[in-house]
Amino acid sequence: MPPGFPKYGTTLNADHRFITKSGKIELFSERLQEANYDPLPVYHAPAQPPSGKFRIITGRRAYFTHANSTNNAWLNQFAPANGLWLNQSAADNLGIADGDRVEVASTVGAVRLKAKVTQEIRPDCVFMLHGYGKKSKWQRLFAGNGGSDADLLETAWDKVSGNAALHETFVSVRKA
Amino acid sequence: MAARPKRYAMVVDSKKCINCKACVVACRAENSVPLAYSRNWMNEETRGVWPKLMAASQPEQCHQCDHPACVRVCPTGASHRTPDGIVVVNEADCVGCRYCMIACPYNARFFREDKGVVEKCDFCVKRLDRGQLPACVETCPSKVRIFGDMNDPKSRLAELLNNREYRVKKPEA
Repeated sequence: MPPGFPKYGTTLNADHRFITKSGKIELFSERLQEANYDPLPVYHAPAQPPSGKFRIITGRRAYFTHANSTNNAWLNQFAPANGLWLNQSAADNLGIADGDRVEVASTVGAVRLKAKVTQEIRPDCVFMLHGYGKKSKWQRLFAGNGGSDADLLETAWDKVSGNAALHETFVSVRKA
Repeated sequence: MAARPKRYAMVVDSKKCINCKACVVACRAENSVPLAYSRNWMNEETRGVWPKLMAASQPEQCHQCDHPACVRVCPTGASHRTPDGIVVVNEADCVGCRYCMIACPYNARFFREDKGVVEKCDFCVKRLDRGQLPACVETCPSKVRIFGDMNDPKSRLAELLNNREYRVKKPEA
C-alpha cells in the first residue's frame, strides 16, 4: 500500500488498494476533476452529419478474425470484397443503384468500391467492412479488393480513456 | 432384449446462429470438399423496410430422411441407409447418374466432376466411428447444432425433442 493511503476495513488481499486517490474504486474521480475532465460520466451528444453527408460506420463479419484471416481462401470466398452499404432512400436521392461503383470521400481521403443498396442501415449512415482494400500485394486474394476504411477515417479518440473513436467521420458519396 | 439400434439425428437451434459459416468451412476441411462445392450451407434471409427489419440465418444439410427418395431411385445401391439412420453414398458403387440429386427434396447433394460421384453430408461417419462429433457440431461457436441418438432417452437431443417445439422441414420425406 502506498504511504499516505487511508486505512479501510479488510480486503481479500491484505492491504490491497486501487491506485486511485481514495484507494477504492471511484465513481467520482478526483484526478479527472483536477485535470479538468468531467469527474462523473456525462453524456455529450455526438456531432451529426451535415446535410448531404453520411456518418461512416465500420465493422467486421463473423467469418474473419479482425482483418487477419481475410486472405484465407476458405474464408475469403464468403466475402471477397467489401461494398458500401447505403440506405435505399439515400441511394435514390443520389441516383445510385445496387452494384454501382461509388466514390466515398472524407477530409482524409477517398476510396472507390461497389454500392450495396439495402434497407439494413439508417439513411444517415453508410457502412463498410473493415480489412479490405489492402495494399500488401502478398495478400494475394485480398490486395485491391474493395476499399479500406483506414483511408477515410479521421483521427478521433476518447479524451479520458484514449480509445479510438472510429465512427466520428462524415463522408460524401457520389457515383464514380 | 437386444439394444435398440441407434438413430442419429441433429437439432438445429437456428435462433443461436450468428452466420459465421464455421460449419461450412469445418465440413470442407474434414471431408476434403473443394471450395466450389459444399455439403452444408446457410439459408440467409433479411426482410422489411428500415427501421422495421428482421434477419435470420439457418444452417442446413442432408436431413437423413426416414424414407430417402435418393435411396429409392439409386440404380446401383450406392446410396443407402445405414442401420443407425444415416444416408450415405458408397463412392465405389456410384456411377454418377445423378438421379438422387433430382430426387432429393432438400437439394442436399452435389456432383463432383473431378471424382465422377455424388457427395452429401454423412454426419461425418468416420468421426462417429472414432467417438467424435460431426465436424460442424464440434466447431459451432454458438452451439446451434445438437447431435445425438434419438433412441437414447438420456441424450440432450432426446431431451430437446421431448420438451421443445420443433419442426421437421418435410416430415413426409
